[in-house]
Amino acid sequence: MKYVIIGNSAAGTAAAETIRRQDPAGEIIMVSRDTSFYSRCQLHLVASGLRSPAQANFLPAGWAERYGVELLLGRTVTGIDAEGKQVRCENGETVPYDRILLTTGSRSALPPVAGMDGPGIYGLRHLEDAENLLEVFRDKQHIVIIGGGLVGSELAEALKEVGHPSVSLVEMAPHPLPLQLEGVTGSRLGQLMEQHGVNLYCGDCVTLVERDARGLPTAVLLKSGKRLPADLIVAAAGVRANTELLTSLGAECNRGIVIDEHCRTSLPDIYAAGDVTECRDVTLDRVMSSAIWPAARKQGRVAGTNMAGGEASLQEHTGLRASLSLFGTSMVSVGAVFSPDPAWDKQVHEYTDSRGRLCSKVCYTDNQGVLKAAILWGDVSQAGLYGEAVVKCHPLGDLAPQAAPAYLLAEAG
Amino acid sequence: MRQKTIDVAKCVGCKNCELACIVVHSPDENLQQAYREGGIGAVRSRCKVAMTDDGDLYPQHCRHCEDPQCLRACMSGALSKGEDGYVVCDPETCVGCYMCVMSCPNGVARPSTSGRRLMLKCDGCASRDDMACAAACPTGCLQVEDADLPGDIVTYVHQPDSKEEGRG
Repeated sequence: MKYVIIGNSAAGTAAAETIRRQDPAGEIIMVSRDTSFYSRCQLHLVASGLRSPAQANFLPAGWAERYGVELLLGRTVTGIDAEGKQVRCENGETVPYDRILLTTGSRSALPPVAGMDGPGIYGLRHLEDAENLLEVFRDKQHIVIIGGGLVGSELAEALKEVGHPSVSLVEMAPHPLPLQLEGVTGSRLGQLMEQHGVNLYCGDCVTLVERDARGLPTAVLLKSGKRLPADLIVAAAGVRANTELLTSLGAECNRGIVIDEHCRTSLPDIYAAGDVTECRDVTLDRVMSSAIWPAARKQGRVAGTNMAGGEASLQEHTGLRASLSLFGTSMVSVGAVFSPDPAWDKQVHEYTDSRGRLCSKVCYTDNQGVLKAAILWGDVSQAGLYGEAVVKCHPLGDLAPQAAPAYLLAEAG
Repeated sequence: MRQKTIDVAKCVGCKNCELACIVVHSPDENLQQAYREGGIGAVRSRCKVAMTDDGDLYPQHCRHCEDPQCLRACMSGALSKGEDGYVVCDPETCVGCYMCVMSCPNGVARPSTSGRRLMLKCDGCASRDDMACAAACPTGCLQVEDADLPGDIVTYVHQPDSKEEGRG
């Protein structure tokens, strides 16, 4: 059996490991435009210089040898010949397959704004994006990050941590991390960012990028009329799934390639996993993307198992989970906190832990008392229990903040 | 293989397990010194005696799961499962993203309180002759034996009802 995996990140490598465990003799070929292995979740650390590109490698040394994976790195796949069962690379190479897995991820989507095309605009999806940013950001006077989601917020924090004097964050929603936080915790994050020197512009968006005679950006104009000086702009306001290889073959596709619970696409012998896909999310019971690392790993394992003839399905799958730490405060979000059902009950519990930190637990429950979504701010040590309750539809029960005696809460830090 | 059994019915909440865990994970295995130098943040037990809302005591210990969700969620490569079945964290590789914390269904992958972004979890006292928590347990709640049973390395008996299904 000849397995071809396109992409070498979370989903692709998880699939390769799983295939090898089940099929000791099969040929596994990994083709990727990337030239090395790195964790995309660490790109903000690489871009700011907090970690080296080598440190961003998430695989143990000798990984490919150990799992018997043939690597064809630095090659962009330009097409899949589903009839002839082979892939074509940009350099003319062809690679035959019996079963193929697409883990091509997504790319930064530039906001449709006048002046956005041209030099001085960066995304943060690939290692070279991070390396490019690292090379230039210290020489730039004013950095403007468009989009206060996970990527934008983490990058803003990292750039402040290494001491950049002017970092601005523009977010369309009323507060940063609009998909992960609600009003109370969201505005608190906004304050936290401002306390640490991030210039925050929420409820606003960029309408124009101004450029000088050489074509380099000098400022951005916001919808509110504000004008921010900007000689480096990072677009972190959304991504587009790299679906082209399969849409051209007629695969079922929304914004991502639709996969079933076995990670099969609508085309025979073609599987997909990771950010390029959409599948049923257990929290909203809706087909949607699940663009987080653990979800990509899981899809990769399920795809790999099924490709190698085993039986696996995406159980309790969700992409609506996020964990991050910004300016010394940890936060975890589980479930659809961005669109709570009007029938859900929302409880906000705030307390001070033993180290004097303000902590919050925001819990959303339905009329049966089942936990539907939650945000933990400050003390996240029990976050996994909340995540488990959400996907398993457990009642809030033991996790209800007021149910625990005060001394246990005080200790929980 | 060294395996631990937790008999929930025998827990009296003395927290000797927590203290023993803090001691063996302090720099010089000296609790007072660790506290003096680093304050409360420097000392954090990997295990914990929790209480359910029914008032039952519940020792929360890492199970070193057969299918470890912490490791599955790890984006840095810091978490690994050794030949001995124990899931351990390499602190040099960990970046403290806490996706393991977010993913552990038992709530036993936790952030370090030392100020450094680092996850903390039970290492099974792999480098020690005994398991500190079990050695310090005066009631027989925590028992260690050499066995080669399939499944998680750490298993529970006499779980309170509320914990049976949800693997609390």
